[in-house]
Amino acid sequence: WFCENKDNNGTLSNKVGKSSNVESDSTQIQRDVSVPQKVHTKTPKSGKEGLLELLSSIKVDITTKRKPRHSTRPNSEKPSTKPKPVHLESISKMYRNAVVDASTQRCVETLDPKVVSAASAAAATLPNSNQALNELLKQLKENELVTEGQKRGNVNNLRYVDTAVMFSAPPTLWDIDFVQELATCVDHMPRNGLQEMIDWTKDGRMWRYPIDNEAGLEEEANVPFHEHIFLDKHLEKGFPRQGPVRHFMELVVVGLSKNPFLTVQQKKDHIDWFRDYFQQKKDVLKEADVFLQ
Amino acid sequence: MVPSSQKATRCCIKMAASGRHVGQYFKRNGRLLTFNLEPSLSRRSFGWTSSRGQVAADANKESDENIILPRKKTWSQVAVLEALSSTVGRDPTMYNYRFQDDPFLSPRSFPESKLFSKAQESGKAAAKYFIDSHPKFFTKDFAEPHIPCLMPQTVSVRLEEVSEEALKERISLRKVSAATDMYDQLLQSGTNVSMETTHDLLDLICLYCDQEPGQEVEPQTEDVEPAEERPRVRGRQNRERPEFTWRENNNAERIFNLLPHRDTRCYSALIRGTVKHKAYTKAFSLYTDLLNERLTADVHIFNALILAAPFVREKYAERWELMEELLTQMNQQSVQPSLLTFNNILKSLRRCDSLARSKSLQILSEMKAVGLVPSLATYNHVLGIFYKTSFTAKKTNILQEILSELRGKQFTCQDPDDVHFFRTAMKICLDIKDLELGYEVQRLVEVGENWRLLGNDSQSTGYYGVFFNLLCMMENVDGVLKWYKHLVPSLFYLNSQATRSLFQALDTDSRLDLLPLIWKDMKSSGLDKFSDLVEDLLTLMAREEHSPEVSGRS
Repeated sequence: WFCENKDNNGTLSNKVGKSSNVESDSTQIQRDVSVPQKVHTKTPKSGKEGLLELLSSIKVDITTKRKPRHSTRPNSEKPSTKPKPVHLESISKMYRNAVVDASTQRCVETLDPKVVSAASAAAATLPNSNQALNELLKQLKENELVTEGQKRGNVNNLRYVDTAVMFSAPPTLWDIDFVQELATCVDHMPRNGLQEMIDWTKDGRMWRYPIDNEAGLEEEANVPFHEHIFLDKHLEKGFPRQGPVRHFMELVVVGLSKNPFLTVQQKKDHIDWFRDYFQQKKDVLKEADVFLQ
Repeated sequence: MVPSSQKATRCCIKMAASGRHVGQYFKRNGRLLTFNLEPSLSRRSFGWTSSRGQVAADANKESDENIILPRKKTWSQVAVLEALSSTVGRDPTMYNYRFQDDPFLSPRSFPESKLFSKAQESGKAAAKYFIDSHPKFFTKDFAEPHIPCLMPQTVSVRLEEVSEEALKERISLRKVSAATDMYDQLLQSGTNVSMETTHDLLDLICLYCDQEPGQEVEPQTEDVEPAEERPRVRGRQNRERPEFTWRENNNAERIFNLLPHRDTRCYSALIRGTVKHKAYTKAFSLYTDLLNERLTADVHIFNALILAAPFVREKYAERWELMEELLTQMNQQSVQPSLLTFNNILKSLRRCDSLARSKSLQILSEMKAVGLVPSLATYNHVLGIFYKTSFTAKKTNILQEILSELRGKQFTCQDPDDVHFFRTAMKICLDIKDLELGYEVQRLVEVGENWRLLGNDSQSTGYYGVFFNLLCMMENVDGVLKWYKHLVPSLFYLNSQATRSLFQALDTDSRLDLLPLIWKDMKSSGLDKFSDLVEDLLTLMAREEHSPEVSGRS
């Protein structure tokens, strides 16, 4: 493996000129990162991925000093904490991290300092601390953007005001008041019955055209059908395996599986209620010798 | 086929085509021609034609290899309804849509229409009030899918303990005095209130000038008057939105002074509140305090101060100087101006008569340099500046320039003063007696949804009244009647002034045979109660001897 790396190194030393800036970026990022003991690639899928892989293998060669030690154990699969085998995905991630690190540096400034320190503390526990830190910060930044976008969207539930009025921070009472004042200035009365129906649809009072039978059931659409039907797995804990109680519960499960009106959570709640009930009545059942655990 | 035709074109382009090239061209095309002819000639040899066709098809496929698949169209929830409503439009023969219920309950005149629309709104408000105050009667939810807007909303406070959560709840429910009390209790108990919540509390108190928000709406019973026009209309409007004046040392100031550390947002809340409630000198003193504490102001503070500037200085030059000073400080603190900033500058410039004209053009060009698109309010203020008196109105044609720039554009409301633009423009057209410009303005109103920017009932009636006056004055009778049928009664109810100008128009073109029609409309809209109008009508009718068919005598 290692000779392969060396060969790659040799052939790519000519091409290094082009990618030298990427390398310098990566060298500045101090990684006490993993050596690819085994670069688990057979053939690169596309030209770009091959380049990624080769570039990342260069990086690792330069940053590691463990060359001679690992050359003696090319096929060792001993999982050691520091030199972990690096797979293609993490390789490409490292490449991605190398490129986007400038932007994550900027991200660090806009995030709350407490968040950043928490993230660095969390990342320090992981082996690839710097890589993990960069990923965490990137994720936090994305989350922040998402929540800010949601906050902006939730303010303007007034139909006729132009929502191009953007708020830089969460909207204050003044902003809400301004938006309401604009809404009162505009004449938003409907001019015919169809415009009135449009207003009602935006309010949520009317069905949407074209009529969709499953309007309002979007969450249910994400629940797969087998969670509704195969409820036996909820009978595994807390109920006896044989006897009248089990028989009864199987009938309950059969009934629930045929019920199209309850959500999965409601069905689970039914079964949980029965579990609690039979647990409470354990003494009575034991007297009647039916409760077999 | 394609490569050879390319070669053919190349040969055509090259002017110095030698005979050899030409000969080759003909040779190649000749072959193609024969190939093209042969399928039609030898129709019996199906196999050959089909293979020919296949080769042709393959060649076509190669040339169209990049077939672009159209992207899936997603339609909005209301796309079907919007398409349908665009075919229906407005019904010009009936009253406004919201009154189309019972013919007995259709309003015949403008005061009646205001009364009826207020009755509708008050009915809805009463229903909402009952649902919100007695939610225990409205627990059963029949609707599938669930309709959140019909459910009772929380209007009463649930958290009773002294905590920041309770304070936040009171702020979100807009209960001013309860929030202030909760804040005082929190301070007394020694709990630290976060800056966020303090900001929100100050915003609340300053916005409502330390009064409860419900007090702004007066009970409507006192405003019900018989359906007659009275000159007190303006007074009534003022009573509908009472404006509070900022008291010295009210709760906002007290809390503000108690704060150990005041930042820009606290100052912003107070300055905006003082300007909104007309305590202008106080606003400026707060601003000097802010500068002394070396904080940077934000754009809202500057907007409010620019609005307040004309009220704290007497001379026009001083007012402009103050505004300029504010703007330079804004630049120094690198605060980005917004559309409202420029609109407020122009609004304040209207109070600085002599300097206004030159400065306003400068302001407009600055706006374009910053990259902001002027809204209708901007143009409204500019018109107000340039057409202030009838004397100045003769010397400028800025309205024409503005209208030609705005032709065909759609607007949305970005400033509450946007709604005054059309009325101002039409009034100017009436003053300078220009019918073409009036038609331009009306065309702009009819673009898309711009008619919504005519404002509420009173404002749109004012606009149409002015437009109708202009028409009666300048247009011939046929045009007047066409617009009459278009506007009345769906958009505009006849009032006495409009009727008088209509009489004049008919008189000018001696179409007095239309008077019975007008009289019918007058009777239905209640204008026959005005004796002077009836007298005018009768004078017109009796002035000369009409032909027998008009007068109805056989």
